[in-house]
Amino acid sequence: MSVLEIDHLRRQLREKFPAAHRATIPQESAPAALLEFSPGHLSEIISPHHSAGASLIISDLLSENRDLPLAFIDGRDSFDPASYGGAQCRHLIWIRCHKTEQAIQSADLLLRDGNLPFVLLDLHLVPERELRQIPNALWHRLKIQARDSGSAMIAMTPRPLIPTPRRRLTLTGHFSLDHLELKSPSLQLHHAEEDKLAGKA
Amino acid sequence: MNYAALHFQDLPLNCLLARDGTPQSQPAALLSQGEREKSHLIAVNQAARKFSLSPGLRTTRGLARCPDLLLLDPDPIEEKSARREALAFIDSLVPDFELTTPETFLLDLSTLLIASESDWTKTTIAASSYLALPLQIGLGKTPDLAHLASLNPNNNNPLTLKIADLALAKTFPLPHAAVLQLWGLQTLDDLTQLPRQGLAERLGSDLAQLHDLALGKTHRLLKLHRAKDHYQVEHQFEPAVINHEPVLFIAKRLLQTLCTRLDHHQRAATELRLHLLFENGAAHARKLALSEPTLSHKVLLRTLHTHLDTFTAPAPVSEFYLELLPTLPRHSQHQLFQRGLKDPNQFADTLRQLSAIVGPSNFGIPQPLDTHRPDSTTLHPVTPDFKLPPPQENQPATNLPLKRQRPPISINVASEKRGRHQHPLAVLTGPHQGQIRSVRGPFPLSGSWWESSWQHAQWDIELDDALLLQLSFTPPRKWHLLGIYA
Repeated sequence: MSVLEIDHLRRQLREKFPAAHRATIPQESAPAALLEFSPGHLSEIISPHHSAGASLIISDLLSENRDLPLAFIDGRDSFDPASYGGAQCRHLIWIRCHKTEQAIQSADLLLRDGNLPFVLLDLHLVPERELRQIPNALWHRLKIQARDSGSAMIAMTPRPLIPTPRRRLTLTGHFSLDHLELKSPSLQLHHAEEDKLAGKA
Repeated sequence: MNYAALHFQDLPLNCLLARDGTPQSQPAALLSQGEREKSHLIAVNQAARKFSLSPGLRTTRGLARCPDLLLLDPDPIEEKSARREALAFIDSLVPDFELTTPETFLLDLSTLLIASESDWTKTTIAASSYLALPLQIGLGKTPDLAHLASLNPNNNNPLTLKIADLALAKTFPLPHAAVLQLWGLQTLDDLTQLPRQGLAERLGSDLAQLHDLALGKTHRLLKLHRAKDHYQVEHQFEPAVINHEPVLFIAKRLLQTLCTRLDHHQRAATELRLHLLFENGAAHARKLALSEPTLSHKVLLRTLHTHLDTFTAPAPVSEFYLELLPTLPRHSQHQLFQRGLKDPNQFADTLRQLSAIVGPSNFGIPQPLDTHRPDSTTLHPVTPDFKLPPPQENQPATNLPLKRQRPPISINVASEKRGRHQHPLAVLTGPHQGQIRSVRGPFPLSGSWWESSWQHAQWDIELDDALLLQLSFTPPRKWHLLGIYA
């Protein structure tokens, strides 16, 4: 039984016996439910526009209650801890990569290791020229490793990169300066492709 | 029989005879220091005892009794070497043993699966043949009975041990040996025939204790011997090797040996210490801490492999040395409602590999510093037990997180002065250019005026293509792109 299956079992137990786990029930919002990591699979979140709210995904994922930290592979060393606050960053392992090759190698290593169940790969700001150099076979390799180790990975990309992800969500948000002052800007996700691809994954 | 006693008789003398290749049938004795005329015998071998020679006898009298007596001077170095070899031999037999006297070892056989005691005895004597030292083995149901049996050269029965031989061995308290012999007692069996209480009243409690020992009424615990340098091995390459594969090949076998040894002692390895010596005289030492005590040689080998992969040797490796630091094995049960790592040792190995890929300073748990200076963060190191940094109450700086441009890109911005600040109108150069639709700011920031002061004004801008950027203006005219609100 993989760790992620155990996670589901725990969740079921929490739902069935909420009184026993009142303190540990995570508060799940609707976007967080959509962004749930699929055990042993790769998912993809596409942010075709730079300011479409890709960082809000990280914020949502960090706000979830997890036993083990989230591994965040920062493909362009662009993560800003101050934007998330000290409390959220405590449950994050930040891997600062300066080259795409480093990011891919780190993802490969963490998925093969399988100790951290959740890996987030951020290739959002990686130039198109470097993205084109990533062969499709590599994604296939990562998928096999995720399947074998039971870890789950979400890749954040500017365009569809992973051939057959478990889920593919597209960010369609448009934010303005007014949103910087809003208390909680919400994600706008387009997940029509999710159903289309669910059978293939 | 649960215990065996291995007695290397007259080891200081016999090791010299073995060194010189002298046969055991040659009467020989060790001499005390000083002039030969005034010296005395401090040890004699079995052949010399047949001439009624015994330790303490004057040399001249010894030569008178046995003209062919071979006289040797003690050699402490040879003796030390022989003791070390004997200790290594015993250690290869059982994990638990007691160094009872410098020449006698008491072995706990309860952990061994022995089909036949006589076969084990024969096998052990045959295995010790490379030491070329006379060995007597005694078996017993208590440690002391085994010890007594080993002192009996003729028979494995402790009760047939002569009282004279026991007094000579000086390993058990035996007062009034002469009185016992005057009473006509020859063996321990004779002693056990006497009533214990009467013996204690007439000759003291020591004899009563010996009475109990001989009858197996007392069963003491062994004082187990634990060598300090037990879990270390070394290997020399001849000729020196130029890559790490031969090192790993040899290390695999040596680690298996060390892990088996640890397992016998109910211990686990908590740290792997590696020393490499190179042909040019240089050395490399590294302590590889394991995240969880382990007995798996595969885990240890993987740890070593990862380290050697990331290490560049300055010259061919001529010698290497491995040591395992022992500790008690950890037994813990995973909790149902709290997840832990599946394999902490593998995770520690992964962290080491990650460190090699991105650099040790480029991964960790981020903690924003309590300052207004932008991009001020520390990285708390990641450990397999996930020791979290102390909690901080830093609130998020913005509601829409920023993706930082590191380092900030210098750009040209069309601006005009309104009041005290330059107001941006359009971004002219850089990766994101265009007319500015709306702005927030300025947000003047400054600090560290007491050392290297810094000062700039931040602007949040929205371009025509709905891109949200953060800019900074440093007087008199420098503009930088700090990041994108993504």
